[in-house]
Amino acid sequence: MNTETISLGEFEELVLLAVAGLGENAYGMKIRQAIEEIGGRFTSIGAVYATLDRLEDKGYVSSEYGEATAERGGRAKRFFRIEETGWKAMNSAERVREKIKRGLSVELRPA
Amino acid sequence: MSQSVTTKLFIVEQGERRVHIVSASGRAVYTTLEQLLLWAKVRSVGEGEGAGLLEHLLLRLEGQDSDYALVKVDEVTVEALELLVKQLRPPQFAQYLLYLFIKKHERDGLLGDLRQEYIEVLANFGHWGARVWFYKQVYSSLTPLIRRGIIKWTAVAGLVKLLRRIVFP
Repeated sequence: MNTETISLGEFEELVLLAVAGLGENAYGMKIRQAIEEIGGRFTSIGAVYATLDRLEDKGYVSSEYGEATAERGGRAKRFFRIEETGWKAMNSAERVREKIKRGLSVELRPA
Repeated sequence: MSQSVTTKLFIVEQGERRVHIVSASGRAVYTTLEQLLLWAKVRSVGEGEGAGLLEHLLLRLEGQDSDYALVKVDEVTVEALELLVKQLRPPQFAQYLLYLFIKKHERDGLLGDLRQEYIEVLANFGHWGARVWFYKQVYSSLTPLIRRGIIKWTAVAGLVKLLRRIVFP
């Protein structure tokens, strides 16, 4: 796959970063909380799942269900994991951003 | 604990999970041991109540091995337990709204995540705080979930249109 043509939206990138950061504990609730608490941005669980669904369709993440627990009303956790193409997409997005910044000598100003 | 609470209750544990609570007058509430423990946790964090119940249940869990036990719990009414079992359940209508727009394989993950966090919010902000949080989550979840459906159907419709043009130019 040509990593330079990989498309990754802003929110998709945030979700991928959260999945990467949470490691083996990456499931919907934790991903949402990470984006909200660390990223400082209100996020709904529906937005997280719709994005994860899109990322899974693209092959960037995969998921599997764990054990059902009582605190979740007998429902199981769905754990997400980044696939090789997902890592490539994140690296590619980072590289493109850096290239543009360097190529146009962009210096970010504090907002 | 409010002053009107005077009824003594008995908790009869049946098997591993099912709990049958009966009052002295014979009224019954059915729930699970896990729900009771969660409720006791929520109450003890929220208002300092329920700690006694939790203590009884924990003693029961740690001290006895039999499948069947009678544990006396003072100063908890059937009404209070009914209310509590009800409070532990997230709003049904809101859950149904989500249910309409999520995929079958997403149900356990998404609804389970919401329920787990609902219990956390309930413990920190009480019943109404948790309900408001839940509705906020559901309503803000509907837009991305509906949009996802529309995008997929638009893509399918576009593909059908393209195929028609190719087959019937």
